[in-house]
Amino acid sequence: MSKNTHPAESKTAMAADILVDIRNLTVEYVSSRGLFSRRKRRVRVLENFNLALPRGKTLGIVGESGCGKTTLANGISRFIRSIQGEVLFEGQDILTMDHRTLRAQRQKMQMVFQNPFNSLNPRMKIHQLVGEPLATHTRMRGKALKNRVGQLLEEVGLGRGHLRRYPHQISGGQAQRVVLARALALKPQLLFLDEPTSALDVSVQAQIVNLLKKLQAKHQLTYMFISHGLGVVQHISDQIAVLYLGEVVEQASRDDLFHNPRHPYTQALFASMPIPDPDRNKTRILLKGNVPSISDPPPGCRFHTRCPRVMEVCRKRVPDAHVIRQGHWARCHLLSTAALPAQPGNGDS
Amino acid sequence: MGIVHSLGRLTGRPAGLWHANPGSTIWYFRRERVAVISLLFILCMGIVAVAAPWIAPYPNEGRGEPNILNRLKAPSGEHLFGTDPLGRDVCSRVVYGTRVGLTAALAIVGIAALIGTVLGGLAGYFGGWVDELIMRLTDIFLAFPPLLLAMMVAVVLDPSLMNAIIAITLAWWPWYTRLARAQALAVRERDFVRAAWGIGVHDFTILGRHILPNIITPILVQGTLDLGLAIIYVSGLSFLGLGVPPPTADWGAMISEGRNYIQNGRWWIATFPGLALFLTIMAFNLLGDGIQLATNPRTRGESA
Amino acid sequence: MEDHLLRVEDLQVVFPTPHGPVYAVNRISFAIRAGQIYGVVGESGCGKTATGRAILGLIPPPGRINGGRIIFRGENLLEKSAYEMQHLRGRRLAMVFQDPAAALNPVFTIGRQLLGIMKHHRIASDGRYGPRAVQLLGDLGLPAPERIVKRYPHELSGGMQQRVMIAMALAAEPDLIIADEPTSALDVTIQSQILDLLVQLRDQRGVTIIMITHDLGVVAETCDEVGVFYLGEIIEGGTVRDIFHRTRHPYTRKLLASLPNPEKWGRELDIIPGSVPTNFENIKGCAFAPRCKQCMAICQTTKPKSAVFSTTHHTACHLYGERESG
Repeated sequence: MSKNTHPAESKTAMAADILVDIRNLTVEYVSSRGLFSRRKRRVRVLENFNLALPRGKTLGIVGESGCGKTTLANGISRFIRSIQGEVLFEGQDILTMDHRTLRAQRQKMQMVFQNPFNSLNPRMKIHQLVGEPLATHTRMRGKALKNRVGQLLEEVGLGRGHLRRYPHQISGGQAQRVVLARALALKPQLLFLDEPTSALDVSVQAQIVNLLKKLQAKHQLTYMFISHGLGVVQHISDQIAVLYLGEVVEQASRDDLFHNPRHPYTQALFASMPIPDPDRNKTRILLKGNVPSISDPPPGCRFHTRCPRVMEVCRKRVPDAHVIRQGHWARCHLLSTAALPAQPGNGDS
Repeated sequence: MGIVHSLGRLTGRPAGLWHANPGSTIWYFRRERVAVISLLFILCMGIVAVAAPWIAPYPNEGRGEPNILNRLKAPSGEHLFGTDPLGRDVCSRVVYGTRVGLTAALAIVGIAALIGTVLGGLAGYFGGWVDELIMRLTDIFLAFPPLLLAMMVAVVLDPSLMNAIIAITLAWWPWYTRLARAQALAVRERDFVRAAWGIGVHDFTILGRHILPNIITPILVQGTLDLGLAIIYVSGLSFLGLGVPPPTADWGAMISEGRNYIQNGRWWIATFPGLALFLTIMAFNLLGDGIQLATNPRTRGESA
Repeated sequence: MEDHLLRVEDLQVVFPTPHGPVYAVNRISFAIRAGQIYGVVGESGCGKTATGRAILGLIPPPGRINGGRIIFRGENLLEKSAYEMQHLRGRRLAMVFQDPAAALNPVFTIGRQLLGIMKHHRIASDGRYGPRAVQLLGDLGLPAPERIVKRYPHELSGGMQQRVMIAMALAAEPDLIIADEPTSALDVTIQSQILDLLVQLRDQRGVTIIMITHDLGVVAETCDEVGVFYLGEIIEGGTVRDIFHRTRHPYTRKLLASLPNPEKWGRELDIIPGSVPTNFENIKGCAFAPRCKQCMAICQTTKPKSAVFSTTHHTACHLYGERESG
């Protein structure tokens, strides 16, 4: 059964203004088996992957380890090679651009990583780090450059006193602000944020989240926000896509997903989230077993090995994407059986 | 102190090099007393080497001028370490020997590390055919035991200090290349390099600005550890007659000369250069140990 | 009246640094009853890990314990020799670390590591160890435990590795387990399994657990009593309901307010200005004063004494003066 049917494609693409349209993206990486083997193993992390990023909004990507979210970010920014598919940025396919055009294109999409100290060259001072993009792409030098750098730092809430410091001399929250300042230097349209707050203290997380929202409003930025921290993703996202083993299993607006999660995995995720309130009674949905390897996904619905509501059909056939309402869909056989009239021997739960 | 300050900036330290940031590697190094003493010893050696003409009691003899009438005199007030078969003052010769030893060590390590860093950095960063080419080249050189290779090259060339340095450097550069390549491979995967790609910085700029400064520390450390070994190599070559030719003073050559006289009871000709060699190499080794202790997060601060 | 399994009094842990001594733990006191889960919660630099390690006697030199008492089962652990502590560790006190992959020895099979612990503490007769290990792994929810004992750590997933770590902590049947961020490295679905497991251990086996974490959600779900740490001090302590529903200290309030919450969507999150200071000497006033909106003059000069609100709930803050329970 072809997985190319994307229900949101025809409707949303025309309805909203899509900045980045990812179509049929297939990314694989080659790994060698063991120490002595010559045979290389091709691991398909993403296969026929589809996703659309609406302009000026935040798309949150939620998933656990091994779901392919980092590969997605790397594939889109061409840090790794994709086998097929297109990534249309304002209509132009990034994947087939030549290097020159790509360099120019890169200015429009910047990445923010999890560990700010890893993202900053420890041997460079803050003003050099923030100034690097400007020095590379513009003709700004000397005083003009320094002024612009100072402006950028102010915008993210850092003072001029930080200009001369090295990354190891500032805190995690400040370092992440520097990363943001640098990302903004070239006036990008899109920011990939890959777990930007996961390495920070709780009180600092809140500061960064507020800052991100402020910057988004001010510069009309589009965000792709990847995280396993559901609370933060929900706070900042307009739409959320839930990833499991390289597939989007459910996608909806933030509110819809929260009030009406339909895919069993999404439900389990929400149920697992620790809530800072001792009196909230949680109905635990415990998932059996472990996450299968992405290189060897289960047949049929990839989630069937752990699904608390698994049916016979789930083991055999890949579920279609079923629309629940405008902008909300999920890949699950449960949604189709609901539509079918109950028949004897259907194996319904 | 301007140079020291600039050096400090190069290695990324905001403060000067010696008055280091508390908690930095240099700060921990200062607490390794044995290593600090060794460093001082080496610095003294360096001063001796530079000021040889003024320190040596008989500078002309140190340079090689014979004085046959004085030959084979035992250590005395006039000749602290005695005289050699050609009547030259051994003390002056030992003093002049530091020039050869230290110059050679610094030159060998410096050049080999330079070649290694550049080639290794290129290989590690670019990968592909660049990597293959450079690695096969290093493999060829690595196929030979380094000392043997150095000797072979030295035999082919005329004996001279310069040629000895060339010979040993040719044997050593592949090791530094390997080291630099491994470091470059690791640094290349770090997020800040990705960020630089994302900004659209050119490859060679990335190499110079991001890769190089972050691979240099282990290479510097290795270089310092190798200084003692370099002196052994040079002295070894001279000992075999392949290195520095007479009349230039070199500890290895002096030991070689002196060993025939030991049986006759004239011990001072070989012993004093031997002692100098031993102490210098020991100092370098202890310095290297200290650096290793100071740079390893697990062992730093333990002897304090 | 030693009904507390563990009582920490006035504990102080110092780390000498080039910048001066850092008081990682600055005179804290708390007590835990047997069969409780006690939460140690705070952000980076608050001293929670140092506290856990101090109890186990695992403070790495040049750090040292500068004062106080740790009364465990009626005896002061700080007066024990290294040899005695060696025997207590594993047998009476155990630790579960944050990163299971790093804490398990990669060159030994799971079985070998478990057996090693059991044998060392001689908790059963020879020959019974194997079955005990398998039983333990099975109890902790590992599928096919008889095969797991033959596997190496890297062959298991993160969640399974963490269960193995907990098994190793339980192997010698200790009275107290200190869990240092046991789920931070795990995915959220696995995290909830492990947390459930820990609560089960308390319920079914009466294990006492100190849960060190930065995640207030984890605290709310698992802990009975909580100590909120800031810069080496306990600024608020009480039952889990005291802390979450009857919050008193400005820091705790702000911390809870800064957590994302569906009710706050569309608004800015409440923040604590600035960040946790990294270097500090023995601070004169309240540790939180520089960042506290309700800071008064006295907060900067004098350390607040404990204000008691109930038998369980106390906080150190000048806003409340010195109150006795009433």
